[in-house]
Amino acid sequence: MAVKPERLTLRCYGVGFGDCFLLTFHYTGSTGDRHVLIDFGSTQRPPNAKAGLMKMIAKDIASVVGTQLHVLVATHRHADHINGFATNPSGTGTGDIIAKLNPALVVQPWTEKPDAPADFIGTGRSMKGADAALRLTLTRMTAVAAAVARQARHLPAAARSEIQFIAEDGVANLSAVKNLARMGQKTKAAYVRYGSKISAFKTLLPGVKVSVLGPPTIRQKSDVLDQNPVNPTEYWHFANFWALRAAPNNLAPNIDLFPRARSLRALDQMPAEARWFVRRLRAVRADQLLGLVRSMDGALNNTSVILLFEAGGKKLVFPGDAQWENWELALKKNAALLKNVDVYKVGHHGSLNATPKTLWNAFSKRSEQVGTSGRLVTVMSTRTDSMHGHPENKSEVPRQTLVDELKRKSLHRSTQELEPDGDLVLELQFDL
Amino acid sequence: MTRHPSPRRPKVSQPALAPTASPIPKPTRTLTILAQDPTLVVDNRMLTAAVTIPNEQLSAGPRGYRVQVVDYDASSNRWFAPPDASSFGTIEEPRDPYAQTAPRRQNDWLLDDPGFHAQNVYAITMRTLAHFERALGRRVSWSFGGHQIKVAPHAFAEANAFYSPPDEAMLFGYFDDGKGRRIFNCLSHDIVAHETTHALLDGLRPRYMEPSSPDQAAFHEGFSDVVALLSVFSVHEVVEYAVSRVTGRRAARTVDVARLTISGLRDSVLLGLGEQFGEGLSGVRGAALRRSVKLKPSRLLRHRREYFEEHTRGELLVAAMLQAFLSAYQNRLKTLGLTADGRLPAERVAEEGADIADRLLTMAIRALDYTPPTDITFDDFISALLTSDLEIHPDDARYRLRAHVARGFEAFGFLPASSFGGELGRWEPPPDGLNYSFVHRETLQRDRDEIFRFIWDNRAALKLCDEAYTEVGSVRPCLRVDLDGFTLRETVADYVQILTLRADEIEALPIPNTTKRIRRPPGLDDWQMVRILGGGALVFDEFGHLKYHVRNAVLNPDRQSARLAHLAESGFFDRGQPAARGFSALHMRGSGPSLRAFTREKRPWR
Repeated sequence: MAVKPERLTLRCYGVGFGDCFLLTFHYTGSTGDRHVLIDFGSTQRPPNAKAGLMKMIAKDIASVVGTQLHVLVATHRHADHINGFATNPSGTGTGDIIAKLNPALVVQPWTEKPDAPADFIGTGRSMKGADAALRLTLTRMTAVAAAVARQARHLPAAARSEIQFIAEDGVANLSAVKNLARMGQKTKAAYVRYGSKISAFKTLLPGVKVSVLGPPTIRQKSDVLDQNPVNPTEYWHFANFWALRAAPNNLAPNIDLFPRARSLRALDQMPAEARWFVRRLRAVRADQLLGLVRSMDGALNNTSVILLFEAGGKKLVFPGDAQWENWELALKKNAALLKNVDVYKVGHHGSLNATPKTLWNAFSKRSEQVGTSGRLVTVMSTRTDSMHGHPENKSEVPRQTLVDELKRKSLHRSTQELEPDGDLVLELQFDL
Repeated sequence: MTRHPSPRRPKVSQPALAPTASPIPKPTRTLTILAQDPTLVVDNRMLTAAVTIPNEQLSAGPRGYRVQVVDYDASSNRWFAPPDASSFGTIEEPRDPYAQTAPRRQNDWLLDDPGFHAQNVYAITMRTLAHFERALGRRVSWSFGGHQIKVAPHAFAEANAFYSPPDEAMLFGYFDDGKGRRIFNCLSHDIVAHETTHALLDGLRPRYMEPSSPDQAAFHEGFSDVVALLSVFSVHEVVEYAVSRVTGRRAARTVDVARLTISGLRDSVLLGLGEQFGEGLSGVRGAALRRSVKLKPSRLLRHRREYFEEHTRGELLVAAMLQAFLSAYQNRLKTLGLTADGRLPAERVAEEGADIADRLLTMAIRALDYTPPTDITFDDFISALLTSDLEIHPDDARYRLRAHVARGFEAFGFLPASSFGGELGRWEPPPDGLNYSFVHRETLQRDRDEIFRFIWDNRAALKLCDEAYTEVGSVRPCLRVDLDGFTLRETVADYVQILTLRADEIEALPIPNTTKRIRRPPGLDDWQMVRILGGGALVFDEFGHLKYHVRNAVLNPDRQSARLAHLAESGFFDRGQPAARGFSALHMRGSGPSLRAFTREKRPWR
């Protein structure tokens, strides 16, 4: 008789602007409970958060899991998904608590493999070369992210806070990255791409089918775009672009181009005829930096692992922060699989880009009828009034248009519900 | 405007100050610039040139009657104080603060002094502007209301440079190339000329920024590259350098005729220079220019998918003009007298190159008045080139530029949009029997309302769309003076027609004299508003009679259907107008990755 789970508890932790989901598959008999932790990070605490929130969450996870965490997934390297895995020298960090749970399998995207190229090799005419170029680019981006956050200081205030918020999300969290690598080394690490089959799932989560729907490699991406095949050298141009921006002298914010020439830094000391234009230039720079950090943000989001769990006839999809470019392949090739999804974790904390309309329209279990059995459930981990984006240019996260649609056509749950009382976790139960 | 600056560089170095100053303001002055950019080095010194520009009493900046340089760096938040205005002398005795009385370490001196960078951009901008005004025979305004365009030579730490209409400015970035060299875009002659051309073209034809067709999107880039390249070639020092690469020896006095074939010229002269262009931009913009130079003529390229993208399509325009330049150059050299040993004097070879570049550039600029104000295609531009040149050079037996231009474009599969009366590329004249009885010839030269009266009186004959909103852009009298002394008086004006319809009304719009209709593109909601654009350029002769009406009709089903289809396909109706800082995005894309991988979702959220 095949072993399969009977129920699922989905714990959505109120980390604020970030993700932290603990899935517990309940089995009868000796199999017991099997736990899957997907992400643990935050870049902005929820309003009314108690002090030491992340510690409390880590301890709660530990108390639920006990001694053995079965699967740990870090969908991508953004801080708001992994900074909870950071450790500290005294071993009391939130990441230390998680490490003690000894995850038997650590799943990350293929872009996170520890053997990232440090520099260019060859011209990268092959698809594999393009993969290497992309990984190099991602490394460079994190360097740029750190510098950009520092550069924004003299820019208009409104732009500054948004730029810094997004940039800081991309800054490398070395401690968390190291911890994840270590945990994977101790037991088993899987660096997955679209279509990866991980045999460990069969023993760790019996009766649960796990499909990896993203991120695709460059060759896989190329297969989707049959009309405009990917040119691998474009990825080297791309890497070049970011290499330039990551060059040390380009990142230094206080550089003095002409030390021997006289210069001024305070606006009111500059000649009157120049002031209007100086203000405009600052706004232009802010625009550029915003464009830069947004494209970095998007690139990193598109390295997200997209997992689809099938258990007892129910399908749950957890796509991290995947956007259209990441979803494209799965939408083309796995339309049938995605059709009758029961639970959708809303991508990127409710941003519009991370729930492609095509994906949303594909979900057949959407329904406007409240109380319909089998109605699609959408789950969102986010924070009200986040610093990501602005309602003014319709880029706020979570995006109101999307949220209205989610509420209209699905049973929508969000960690925002925890905000008024500062509760720790939103618990959902499913029969499988 | 009384005098025109001579296009040739005066062969005297900076004159010493006379003991008794002359009281007459000089019409022009010279200022030192880098001939191409810091990488063009001869005998360990960066190659400089003294260019001639209109004279004026400059303020510190430099700040003049059309250009204001503001040296603020938004990355490091630093404003650099410019040299005092007195360093430029007076209008009676203008001074060149960076003239070639160079100290031993000239390179560093120029590179380390922001005052020189400011002078470099100012002079190249003014030189380009002056060339436009000379070619068009009238003043050319910026597209924004103000008179002085702002220029930031060190705007930000970015491998980018662009013209920004909302900021009324040209912004040049700087960056470290990762090999220890700091690259200043403001020191690249071709980049400064390129951006200035964007600004000038935007002033002349503001509607060319509206999305319309692959040719239109490519035109701004292609045309700006053409002006940039020909501007650089028209600097004597540059061509001298390029020719020295043909001879292989700097001091060589003669050149072997056999090496001056088209491909010989291309490979040595042009490619040699192409190596320098934008070299510092990590091979990105420079790559585009080099690619244009290397493009072997082929009629198939224009139909290939990769040549629909605006940057690559622009390269075709550049390649065609370069082809024309090379064949005109080669032809001209054939007519030169050989030296005793059957070779050509190197000095003459260089001079002819600079001269042909200058003439071709003038021709290209003049053509703008003969282009339709909306929806330009390359075919339109060819007709504009040929017609405008025909008007001022009825007999061009000496250089035969028209024949070379036509052949250059034909080599890439582009043919003129019309060829009236057996004259290749000539625009059709307007219909007979136009009504002039309600307008005055003198007023017609300068008053927008008078022009509107004229086109309204003749709306049937000119086949305007009655239902559209019509507005006259500008009207200017011109006096075009050719290098060889031929003068031509004209008045140029332009108007635009805008018809705004709901998507479900498009196919019901009746088109006179045909059953064809404008096709509604797929994917639009019935209620979505769509703008259909048309317009015309009007060229009047010196008697106030309409010579040419270069138009794109609102009621042209084929063109309008193609335009709407192109807009729909590029997602225009989904995301609305591109950002005002469109040029920034354009350049950012060109200098970054154009990844197919980053495709858009076809029907995204609105």
